Amino acid sequence: MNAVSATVFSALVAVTLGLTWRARSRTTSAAEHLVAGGSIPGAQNGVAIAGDYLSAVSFLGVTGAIALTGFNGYYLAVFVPVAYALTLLLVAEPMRNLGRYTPADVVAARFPGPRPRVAMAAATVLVNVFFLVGQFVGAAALVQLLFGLPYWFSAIVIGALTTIYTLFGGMLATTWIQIVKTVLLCACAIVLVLLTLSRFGFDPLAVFARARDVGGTAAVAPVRRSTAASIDQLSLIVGLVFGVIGLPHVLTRFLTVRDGRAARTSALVSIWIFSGFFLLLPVIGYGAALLVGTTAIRDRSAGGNLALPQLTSLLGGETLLAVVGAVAFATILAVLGGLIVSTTGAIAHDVYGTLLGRGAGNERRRLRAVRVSTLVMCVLATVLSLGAQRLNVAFLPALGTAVAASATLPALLFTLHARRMTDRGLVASMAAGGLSAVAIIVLSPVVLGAHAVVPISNPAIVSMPVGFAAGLVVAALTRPRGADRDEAERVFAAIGDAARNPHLRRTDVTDDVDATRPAPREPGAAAARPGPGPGAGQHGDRS
Amino acid sequence: MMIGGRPRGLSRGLLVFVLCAVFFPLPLLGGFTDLLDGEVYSGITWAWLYALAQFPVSILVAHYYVRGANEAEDAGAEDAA
Repeated sequence: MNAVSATVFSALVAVTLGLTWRARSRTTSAAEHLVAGGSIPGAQNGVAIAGDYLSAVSFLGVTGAIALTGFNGYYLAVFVPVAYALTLLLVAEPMRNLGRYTPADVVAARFPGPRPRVAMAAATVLVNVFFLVGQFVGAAALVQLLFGLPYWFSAIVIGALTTIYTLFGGMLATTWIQIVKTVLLCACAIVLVLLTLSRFGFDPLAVFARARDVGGTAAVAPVRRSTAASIDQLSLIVGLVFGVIGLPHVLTRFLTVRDGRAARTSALVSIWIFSGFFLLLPVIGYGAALLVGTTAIRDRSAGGNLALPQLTSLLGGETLLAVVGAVAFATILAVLGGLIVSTTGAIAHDVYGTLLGRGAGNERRRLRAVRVSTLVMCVLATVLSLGAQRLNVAFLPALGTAVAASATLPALLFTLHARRMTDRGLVASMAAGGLSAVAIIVLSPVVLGAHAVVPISNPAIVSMPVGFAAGLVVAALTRPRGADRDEAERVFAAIGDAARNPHLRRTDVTDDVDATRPAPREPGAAAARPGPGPGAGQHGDRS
Repeated sequence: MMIGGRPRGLSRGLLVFVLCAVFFPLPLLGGFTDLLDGEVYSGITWAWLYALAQFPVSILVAHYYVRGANEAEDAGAEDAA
């Protein structure tokens, strides 16, 4: 690490620590720690959502993939605005209106028994841990490459900073860091595009034309290696599109705003940012291939993850490289912070607070549980990343996305939109979808190599239908009858009204969330009885 | 015309269908056919054109939905007042 890098890096760390210090005074309750008290304005939350999702993989990985594989690399980017538009349509607003701290709150709003909440909390922790370890190991390796630091030192620095941000600043500090990171990331991308275009007469089309001239049609058109590879690629894209909708740390961001309108604004702003950002990457990716050269890129990293830093060094020298390296580092911290806070919610709220019934009515105990969970998760992630240095963990984020698409997404959609769903059907759906996703990955080439039992490494195209089908079959087998069915219909109508209630405000959810949730299920009842919440009483006879 | 807090013209389900129907032909055509391989202009292939078109489509659908939902909310609030 040279003097310029050290200065920029230190300045960035100082800014983020300053934000954490400022957020600390406003993080005095579990609600403020986990969801910033629902106080984030919609537009700011939209920028933070972009910061939450745009990982180092998006910034460095996609540009490297375009540089080395041409158009096929862009599949990893083009789905993002579509996925967030689907998130807006399907879950953003209901998530905000029915959720309190975690996605499991939404499921529990309709199915208040312990099994659905346990299943959703387990899926949340599982998905987040897959992402955490994958991101952590990738981040430490990236910092090692960018700054020439030892892996263990990189992992400990990342772990220590993530702990400070999330332990003291909670969701508010994480949000501010994500906003700063998004602004810096977009600014870096714009500067790099302008510098790249300066070598091509400021004509974006000239970049594409030159890429075609140098790399042939394969550089600018989709490449098909085999039918199996194309099916695997399709499965990857299906998993990415629908996985985003079920990612717990993405869903948690919609709990940080005041009301449904702000949730919609959040999604809309993030879609604009994603579209603008990913529009810039083809020029940077092709620019790296043309100006740095694919051989030089492969020499530094086989997957092309250092293509962008190499291009930066070529165009902007050491100073710009130091800035881009620092932004990549901020990107890592922002994503890790969001993952930690989301996981903490599942442990402290779903398991400790709700299932074990601890901390009720005692804010200090609840906040302490949240902070202990945060500390444990940060230490665990750091230890796992230190132990996993020599393991191939590149499949973990893909596995997390596949489990989200196959387990949490069906659970949310069934809860919100399937009138005849039952709690057993919901749990069966999550178990079948999640386990089939894990099983396929374990038996795939990415884990077993030449001894693979299944030919694809991305399970969503199989595990998603398995999850949905299992839910529908078990729901049909456990369908309530008679008076129980009428109760279930009334609960569904009440939940639907609450999910769409524009007047449900954050304060209502924080203070009176139980009023929006049906009363606990009584023995022999098919489903819970709707409570007298803001939505329950308005159209209680809708069924 | 709004009913139940949602725009009546295009339902949420229809907007979901529109997004999927526009997006998923990209990996299907790109992965299994050569229909998108042809060059349109200056190195830009049909595949790039189709991929970049996903952004305005997503933005338009999102704006349509958000505007309709906000108007429905405002109308509901006025009725309640």
